Amino acid sequence: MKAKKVSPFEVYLTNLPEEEQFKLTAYFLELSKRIVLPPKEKRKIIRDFEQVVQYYLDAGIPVDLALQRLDLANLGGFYARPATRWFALDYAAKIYPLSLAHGQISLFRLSVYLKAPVQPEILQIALTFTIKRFPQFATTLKKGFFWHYLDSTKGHYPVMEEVERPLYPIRVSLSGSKTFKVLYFQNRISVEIFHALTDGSGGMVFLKTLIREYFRLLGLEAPLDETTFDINCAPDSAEDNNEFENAPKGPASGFINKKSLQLSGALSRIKPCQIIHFKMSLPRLKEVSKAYGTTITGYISAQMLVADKYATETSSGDLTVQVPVNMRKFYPSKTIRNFSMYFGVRLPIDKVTSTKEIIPLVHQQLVANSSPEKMTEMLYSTKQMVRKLRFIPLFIKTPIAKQVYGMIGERSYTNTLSNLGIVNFPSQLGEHIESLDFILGTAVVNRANVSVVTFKDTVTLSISKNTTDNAFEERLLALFNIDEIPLTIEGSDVYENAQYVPTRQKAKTRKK
Amino acid sequence: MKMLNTYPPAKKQKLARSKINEWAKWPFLLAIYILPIVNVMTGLPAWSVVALWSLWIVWTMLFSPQLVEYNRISNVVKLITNVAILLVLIDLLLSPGWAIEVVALVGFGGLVILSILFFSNLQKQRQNLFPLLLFIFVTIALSITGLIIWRSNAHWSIIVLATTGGAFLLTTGIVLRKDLINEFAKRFHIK
Repeated sequence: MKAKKVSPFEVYLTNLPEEEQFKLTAYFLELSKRIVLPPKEKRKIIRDFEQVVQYYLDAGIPVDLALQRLDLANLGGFYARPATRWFALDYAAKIYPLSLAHGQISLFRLSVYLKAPVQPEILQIALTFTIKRFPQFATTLKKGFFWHYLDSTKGHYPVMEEVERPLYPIRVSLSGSKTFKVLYFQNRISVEIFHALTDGSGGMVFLKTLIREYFRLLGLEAPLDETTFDINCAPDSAEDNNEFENAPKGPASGFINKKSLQLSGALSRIKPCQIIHFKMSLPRLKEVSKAYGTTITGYISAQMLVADKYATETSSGDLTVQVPVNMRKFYPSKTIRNFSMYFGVRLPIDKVTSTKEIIPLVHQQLVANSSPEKMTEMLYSTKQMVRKLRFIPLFIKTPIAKQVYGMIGERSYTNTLSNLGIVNFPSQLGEHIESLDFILGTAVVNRANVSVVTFKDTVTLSISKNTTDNAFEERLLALFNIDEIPLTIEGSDVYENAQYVPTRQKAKTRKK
Repeated sequence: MKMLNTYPPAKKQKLARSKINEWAKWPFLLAIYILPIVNVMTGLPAWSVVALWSLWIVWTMLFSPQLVEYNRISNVVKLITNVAILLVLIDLLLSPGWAIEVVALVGFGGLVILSILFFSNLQKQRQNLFPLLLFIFVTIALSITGLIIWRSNAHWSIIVLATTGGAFLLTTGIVLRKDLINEFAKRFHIK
């Protein structure tokens, strides 16, 4: 008769004292009862728990304390109940599945840099416990007759070591495909999220909750704050609200904007082909912005416009920086779905002279265009547009949306500046965190997008690039240097060696 | 610009589908232009329509598959539907008189394959129910239409197709019960 294969963990157990063996066996029996999933998925989750138990015991943590941290109450009934929930996409999210293409998906990424290397076993269990609090994240994208939607899917949610370039496309087409990723690399924990799930603010709630749970499993308790969820509380239905439905009636604004100039660098095939972070001092940035008479967003927008001018060879047309606005500012909401609108700061290229000269113009537009009234108009327009389209079958909407997305989307601005603002952690956790970063995902024609997040006294400005031309970031760096803003630079390799020249351009080059 | 690299080193990139598609689209585009011209010049029956539809099948199945819901059920449904259309085109344009029976048999074969795929892994495949339901409804509707049109000399294969479709639908309804209604609520939502 074939002997039963003994797992490494079973061997490990036999070396433990009998009492500990007994406690662990009972624990794993209970764990097994709480997971009603296909055998393959169940085995993966149990293996994660075996690894974390081994990690704890090897670190000299007593069994009782380890099992207390790994209390199975943290699993709730999530893995025992069938996946029956589904979620309609909010009105801002509806465009993302429609604009999908092969190798192109709208993702964004949030990262936390710890002061110590990440413990993958602990992070895995932190995710296993956290996911139940975010039912909207435990979903897969499906196609309806009129709209896409998110269908609950339960299984093993793995954390993965980062081996690919950042924002590597997530494949959402397969049965049970996940719509987000949790990655770790050295001392960094990152989440990469499909924009159809949530926006930057919602993503940050997820990341903060995950980090709190990670530290709890390491023995560090911290109080909750407004933007961190208690993983053992039932999800509040308000967190799932599509706030666009509540947009107050009023005048509607249009979506179609004039085309804007794009930077001249050849588009890379790999998007983004490089990530660059400028880590700057918050007090100094505040001081400089104040001296110019504007906000940090106003100051960075102006610097971007100047850098844009430097990075383009075209001499006529408008340069536009698109700035997303968190609508929760105007309409307090618990939702962790998309609830952002945007406006543009637009200047003719010949008027973009120096930072000092354009800042009053930029600031004026910033104040006027981001007013609650303007943003509400846009919110209402979005609601109206989605309502008008709701009875058109998806197979008709999809090809039209792909075309329209280009016209009213990216081509109407040069780049995006998304400022997530200051992110706080409770002091108990904050002292173990070095910094944060936030990266905007795959643009189609925009060559460089900028995102900003602040933690303690560090402002991290991240540039995600779709061109190997480095004129934009070099100019931006020079401009910050002129204003004597001390900064350190981090980033990635250039992931694309050969430049991609669009086919039409190639043909023209050959003719010449 | 000097910087501290905090990301995994750049790896040689895999050959991306977008790149393959870019290369592949040229022979396909060439065929779209050339085949009808050659067809008109030779003056033969419209074989180019059949050829173009075949190319379409190859393009959508191999080079540009679905971006959402790419699963075994949706793929089989897509393949069978495309093949059935191809058979009808051949019948109409090149060699008339046999398609009704053959398409019905292909539909029947498709239903059998789909039922095996669906019920062999019900827990996972219930999420892929919609293309299957559409396929069943279409086969039943077409069979009934066929039976009405050719009432006097209805072929046995149409009766088999209608019966199999009905049986499959009934079985699915019995197995899934409330989930079937939920599936419709999800798939036809306008929220």
